[in-house]
Amino acid sequence: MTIAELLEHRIIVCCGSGGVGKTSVSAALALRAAGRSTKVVVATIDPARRLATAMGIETLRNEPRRVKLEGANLWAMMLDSKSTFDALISRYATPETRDEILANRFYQAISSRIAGTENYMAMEKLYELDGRKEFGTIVLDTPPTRHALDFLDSPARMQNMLQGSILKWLVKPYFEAGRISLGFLRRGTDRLVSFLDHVFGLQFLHDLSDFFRAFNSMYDGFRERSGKVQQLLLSHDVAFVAVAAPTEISLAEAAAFQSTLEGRGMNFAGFILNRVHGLEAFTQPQRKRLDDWRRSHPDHPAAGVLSNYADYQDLAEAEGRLIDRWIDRGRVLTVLPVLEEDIHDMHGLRRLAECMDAASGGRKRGRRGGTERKKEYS
Amino acid sequence: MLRELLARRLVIVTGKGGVGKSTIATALALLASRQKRTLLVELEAQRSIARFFGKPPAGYEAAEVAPNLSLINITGPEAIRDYLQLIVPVGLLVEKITAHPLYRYFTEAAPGIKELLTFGKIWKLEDEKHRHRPLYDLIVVDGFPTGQALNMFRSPIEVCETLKVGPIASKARHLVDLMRDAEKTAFLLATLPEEMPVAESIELYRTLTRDIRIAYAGIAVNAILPKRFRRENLGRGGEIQRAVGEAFREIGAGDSHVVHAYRAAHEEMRWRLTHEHYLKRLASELPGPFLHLPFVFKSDGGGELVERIAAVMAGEIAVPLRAAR
Ligand SMILES: Nc1ncnc2c1ncn2[C@@H]1O[C@H](COP(=O)(O)OP(=O)(O)OP(=O)(O)O)[C@@H](O)[C@H]1O
Ligand SMILES: Nc1ncnc2c1ncn2[C@@H]1O[C@H](COP(=O)(O)OP(=O)(O)OP(=O)(O)O)[C@@H](O)[C@H]1O
Ligand SMILES: [Mg+2]
Ligand SMILES: [Mg+2]
Repeated sequence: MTIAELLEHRIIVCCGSGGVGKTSVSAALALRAAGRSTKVVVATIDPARRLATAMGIETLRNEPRRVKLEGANLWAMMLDSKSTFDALISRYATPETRDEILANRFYQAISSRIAGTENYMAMEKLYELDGRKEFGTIVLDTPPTRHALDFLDSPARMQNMLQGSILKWLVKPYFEAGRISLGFLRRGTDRLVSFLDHVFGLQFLHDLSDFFRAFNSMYDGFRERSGKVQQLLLSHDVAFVAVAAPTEISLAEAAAFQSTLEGRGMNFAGFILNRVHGLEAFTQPQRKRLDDWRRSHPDHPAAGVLSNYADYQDLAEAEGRLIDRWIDRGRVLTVLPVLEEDIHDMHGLRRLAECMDAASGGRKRGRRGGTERKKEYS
Repeated sequence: MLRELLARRLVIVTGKGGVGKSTIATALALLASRQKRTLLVELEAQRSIARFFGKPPAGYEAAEVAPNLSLINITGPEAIRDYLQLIVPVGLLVEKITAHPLYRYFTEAAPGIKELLTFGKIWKLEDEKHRHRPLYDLIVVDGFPTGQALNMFRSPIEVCETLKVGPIASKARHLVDLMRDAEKTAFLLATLPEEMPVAESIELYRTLTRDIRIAYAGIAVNAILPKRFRRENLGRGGEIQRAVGEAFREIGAGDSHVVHAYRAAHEEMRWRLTHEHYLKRLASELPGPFLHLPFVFKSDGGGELVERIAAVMAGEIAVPLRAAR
């Protein structure tokens, strides 16, 4: 696939491990898309402050705002996972249960602290944006996770967590009676439960039971929606991109992401490699001559440039080796170089977007690119 | 700086994801192991540090990976089981408890339990004795990234606030005391000289020192590029330009290499300026000590890198670095 083909998808989701450039790449993709599609939105997660400011979204959370940019109908937003969750509760709960749920401590724990909530809320927001039928293209950035797969597994985990069916079955008689039942439990109906309760603190079981009592009425609505979210992700309108930097951890994650997606029949579009040092590789004899030359000319005016070049040759070679080891180069959408600065304004985004053009054409090399790699270096 | 750092019982390395926490924690532990019996703790590790030592992945039992250096991988579920084992009343089996349908709710969603007991396990290791003296002189933790690390440090405090009685509550109180004991515990920040990691470190520093009140051991700024160039030296048409052209001709590399070499030099110069900017920002917003660690160009991303970083750390003992000018 090429970047141009990628941009034909209605929804593009950028995944990858922490710090590889998901946010920057998402925004650059949206910028590229804004040149072709009617109305484009990028939903970012915790962008760097300066970048948020440059896009005009540093104050507003959770609602798209038009980016001031001539000739592009580009919108951007910062996702707020807690308020997305709150909105979801408000949508399905009755007014009384709503307040009860929002104030419940178990709810507060899962809505703000449990790993995975943020991932699921990103999907939920995507579903909502898509439902508005307002945007021609939606680009979704994803939260920094240790594992890119966490994103995919989040609906199942969330559904599991909220299902509470086991719990309901377990304490059903007491559920209906509310808190009194807990006293019943403590009296030793179930020694295990009372032991856990003793260990983990009584309040927690109270909160849990209150939560599920209130949540019960909205569970079906919630599950149905979560099913639709998952369905949307399975559709081929959605293209998943694995963003990776040339480090072992991030490439390994990206490769695992590809195989899981494909295993689940989801639409894996390809890899975007970011912050790559590409340069024309020296042949071995050249390299040897370079090292000899450096040894014999320590104080030469060119020494700095040459020692730097030797280091960058090493770096590029190590990166190339890692890339070859972990991923299929045939599935690389584009290779983005390290720009000369971090990406903190529209100019930087535009630069990154331009690099996508430069590097995407004719890059379908075999797995073993090896030493004849010649990458655009900008 | 390092001497002070290593005088503690427990040093927890934390910072943004991907900044080099594992590399730094491992280098520190390796260095410490020259003088002290050291334990390196990884948390929920998927790719174990053991690979740096050519060893199979670490498990929940500490195992020696190098002379004087042991490694353990603590996961939440194992820490909880471990704890239950201690307190379970006679007649109940831990297996039965963990198989109980409610168990998952307690462990996954009871706020802070996983983190609390992970932390608790670390202290249990601290307390381990061999012939009446501590089994480990120093424990270095390859800590969680920011968000999860905060959850871990907050867990005993929060549990103290919500639970008044019970075994967990008293454990939590004990942990708060240990964690706030500056002679025993300190955190070492790890960061890169870039915008997001720096902003995150500054915030993390404030939360950890002011709200959570743990002693601060310093900050390791990782992957700093060398200062090989000045802007004026890289101008076109000058002496250097001619010299570079000449050198490449002698090496037998074509003009395209000259172009690439210039770009690489330019790139390094620009990023070095960025790094200097953020080093200054850190120096103005955070107290030292600062541990400046170089970007390592040629590395296997494993043992070799760790040894390089450890060597630089060792040097810092002799030459304590002041804040960047
Ligand atoms: N190609 C590039 N050249 C130079 N700097 C880059 C490039 N790509 C990203 N950066 C910079 O790297 C840093 C991390 O990028 P970004 O925030 O996009 O990553 P992320 O994957 O979204 O991170 P997180 O996991 O923390 O959300 C930013 O400072 C960004 O400006
Ligand atoms: N000084 C350095 N020079 C060059 N590369 C480095 C340096 N320090 C770390 N790296 C590389 O950066 C990557 C991330 O390092 P490391 O795994 O130590 O980070 P981390 O903070 O532990 O990440 P995570 O948050 O995912 O656990 C690795 O590929 C490592 O090899
Ligand atoms: Mg991001
Ligand atoms: Mg790590």
